[in-house]
Amino acid sequence: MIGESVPMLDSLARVTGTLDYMINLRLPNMLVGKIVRSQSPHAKLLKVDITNALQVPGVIAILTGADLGANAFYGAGIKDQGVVAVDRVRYVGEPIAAIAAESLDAAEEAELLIDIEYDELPAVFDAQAAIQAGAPTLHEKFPNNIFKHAKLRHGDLDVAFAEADEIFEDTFTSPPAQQASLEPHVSAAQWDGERLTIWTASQAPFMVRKTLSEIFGIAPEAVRVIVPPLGGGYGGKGHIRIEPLAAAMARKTNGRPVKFALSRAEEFVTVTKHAASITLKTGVKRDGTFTARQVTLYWNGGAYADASPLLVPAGMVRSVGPYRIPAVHVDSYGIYTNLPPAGAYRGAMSSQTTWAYESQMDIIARKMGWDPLEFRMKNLFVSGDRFATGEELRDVHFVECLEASAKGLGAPSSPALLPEGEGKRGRGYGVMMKSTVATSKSQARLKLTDDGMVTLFTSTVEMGQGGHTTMAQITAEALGVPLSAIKIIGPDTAITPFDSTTSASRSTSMMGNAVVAACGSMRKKLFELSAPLLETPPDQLRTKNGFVVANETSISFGDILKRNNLNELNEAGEYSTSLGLDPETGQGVSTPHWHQGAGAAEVKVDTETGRVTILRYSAASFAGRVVNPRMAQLQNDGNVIFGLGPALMEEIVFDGGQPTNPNLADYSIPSIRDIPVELTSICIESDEGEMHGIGEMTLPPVAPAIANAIEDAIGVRIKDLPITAEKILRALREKSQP
Amino acid sequence: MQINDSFVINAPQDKVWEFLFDISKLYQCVPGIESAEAMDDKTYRGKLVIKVGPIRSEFGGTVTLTEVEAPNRIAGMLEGDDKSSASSVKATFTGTLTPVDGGTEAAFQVEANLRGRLAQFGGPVITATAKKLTAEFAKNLRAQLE
Repeated sequence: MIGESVPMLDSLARVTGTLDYMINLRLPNMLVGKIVRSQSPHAKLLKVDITNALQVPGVIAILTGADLGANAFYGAGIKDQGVVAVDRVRYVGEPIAAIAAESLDAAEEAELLIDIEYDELPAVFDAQAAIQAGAPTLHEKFPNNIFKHAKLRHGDLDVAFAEADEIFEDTFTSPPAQQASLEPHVSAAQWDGERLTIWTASQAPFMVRKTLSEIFGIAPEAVRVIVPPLGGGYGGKGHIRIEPLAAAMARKTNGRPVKFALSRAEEFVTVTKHAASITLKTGVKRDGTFTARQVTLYWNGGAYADASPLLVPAGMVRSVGPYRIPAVHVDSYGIYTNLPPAGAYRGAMSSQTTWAYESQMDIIARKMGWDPLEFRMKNLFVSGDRFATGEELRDVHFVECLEASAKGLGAPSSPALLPEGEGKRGRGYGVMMKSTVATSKSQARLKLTDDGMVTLFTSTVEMGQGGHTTMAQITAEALGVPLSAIKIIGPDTAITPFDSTTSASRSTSMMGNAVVAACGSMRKKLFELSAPLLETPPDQLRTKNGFVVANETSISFGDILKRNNLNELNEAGEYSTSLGLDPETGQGVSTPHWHQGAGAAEVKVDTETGRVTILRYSAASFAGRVVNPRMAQLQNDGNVIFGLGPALMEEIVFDGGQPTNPNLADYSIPSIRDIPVELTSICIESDEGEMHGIGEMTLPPVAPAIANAIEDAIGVRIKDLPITAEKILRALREKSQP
Repeated sequence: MQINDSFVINAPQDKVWEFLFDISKLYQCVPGIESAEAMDDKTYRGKLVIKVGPIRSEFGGTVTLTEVEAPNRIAGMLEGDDKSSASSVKATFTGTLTPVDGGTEAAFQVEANLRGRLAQFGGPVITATAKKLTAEFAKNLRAQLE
């Protein structure tokens, strides 16, 4: 069953439009929620007067900062974000009030009647400007606006740089971007006395439960979090977003449920990809080896820390790259600015860091006269090497990933030079190395009923990635039952067991292993119960296709239960890792396994217009053991297409803190017309056969592979994403001027 | 957001200046203007209807002149809001008249801070709208002065 390309369990419902996405949720007596947002990037709130708004027919209740208790603040590590703003706003789009009404029309009319008075404060939007002396402070607890500084110290940097023949120093930037899930953030909440039920488009239901229980001072069990299938997440739904606001609003509606579904414009001010400026100083020897690397990362966290206290240290680990470098120092800064909060974005932090280290690989290779592919091959980590954190690398296959990508491009196109007027052609490569979550836990519960049906209770979120299909396949294989006998329930924190999060490509590995453990317990139980019936010792039994099989005889799972007078059997499994780094030195173990991916691009650049066409793209990721080849390939391909966005076109443009392109007309994401003419991908497996997640691996190499191919084609180097036609033309013009 | 534009009127500089400072005459040239009145010699109050894409907004607000250097240059501030689209605008501006061959060149620079729903249309749409309104204004002005 593992290794088979079965269709996604809900594929028919998806293509016929009958899948009940979160956004389709309708509850009896449900009210419409509308958020009233700040128009100022930084101001004291002098007045929030809702008197007139409350008079609008159909308006049931309005939530403001005055309704909030002292605990109404949240954030991963730093609780700085209010359910709504209390006396100060820090970005354009920050929620100031919320309205619950019978209709959206009534809510929108009321929105215009809320009288808000601001006392403007100076604002700062750029991360490096925000840490200069005299910059406005966003949060008094962090006067210099640096809320997180993660450090890695490995080896003697000065000595190592002194040994280098050449030292390269380059800065690469990435702008803020949108996760742009097809389905926006949606949450609906309902109170029954002191019990709260929330339906929400979240990748982390148990994080939602914990946060809401803390905010409202109720037991975690009094909060029920239900997550219907999501229309995409990409990290944007990985942390707390509008759930506290929806729950606080519903507290004022006398038990009526209220649902908030954000507009596209609101999505742009709810969470973004971190804008980043990354400086790499790298020492190399003439023999093609590295001596040292110093990385300085400035992450624009926006106005609230959100998930950044976890992501900034992850970005530190993910900034070094997959190469043997004896001495490495990293300083990774999370910085407050008056922009919307930043959070995870598919290939979290690696999308920005891979852009930097893989671009610099080609800069170095070209300057030193080396072949970029050979330079990489010579230095890539292999199993048994030690990373800059001191941890030993096992089961790493960067070389195979890069080889497969390069091979996938095929022989160089002929002729290398296109006919006059058709531009120039070039090739480039990228490799990425990403950690997953160091400390996390997954639990699974299995129920077998006497009709032979198996129900898997899991809090893995189905967001289109096929997580539930993967878990069903793992169950089928590990328990020995047909796929058709398996039903998946969850996430619903009232009935499905704990899981940390569906993110960082961790589910196939973490939840997959929890499911395997639960199946192991279930098999053991079935062997014990059937051994007397089959007159065979338990250790000589096996399972197959819903039966326990002895040498000569067999009995179905259902019959085992019936013969033992049992209606059902319940077994649980758990898998967890508890790893981490020393906060001062960054030494320790950063991840249970490494995400590994590579990409190779062949591009055509029109030197008259600057337009880049991706002629061929070939991607490879290391999957350990592939559960479903077809779905894995879709993840690989989808990552490449997703990655074309930040590489070539995506950037949220802010003007005085106001996003000026918060819609999918002015903000382009890749369409079918942007897809490479030829796109291939491959998943690499190993004999050790651990199941890895593959949701992100082929994304981060896309931008640097394209930039490297552009330099190969026309000899210009772009260091600031996205690589627009304008930037290419400008670079060409600068190059042609003596 | 910066909006800069200029146009040439086939009329002498003094005449253009005089015309622009006569609010009753100016009123006839500004596209979409609904009302305009002088509060004093430095402050004006008015109402303007602007269509941006599918949104029709009605901005009410004040213009305050901070510098008047006849007949060459003015500078000032503008503040207004549109209740129906929950949008507001604050801007500083300078305008100059320069004699050129065959008439007077009128140029202006606006540094605008637009907020609310209208702001979401993005710089390109707003500046394109501003250019269109300027062209219309110049055409009206020429009809009166040339």
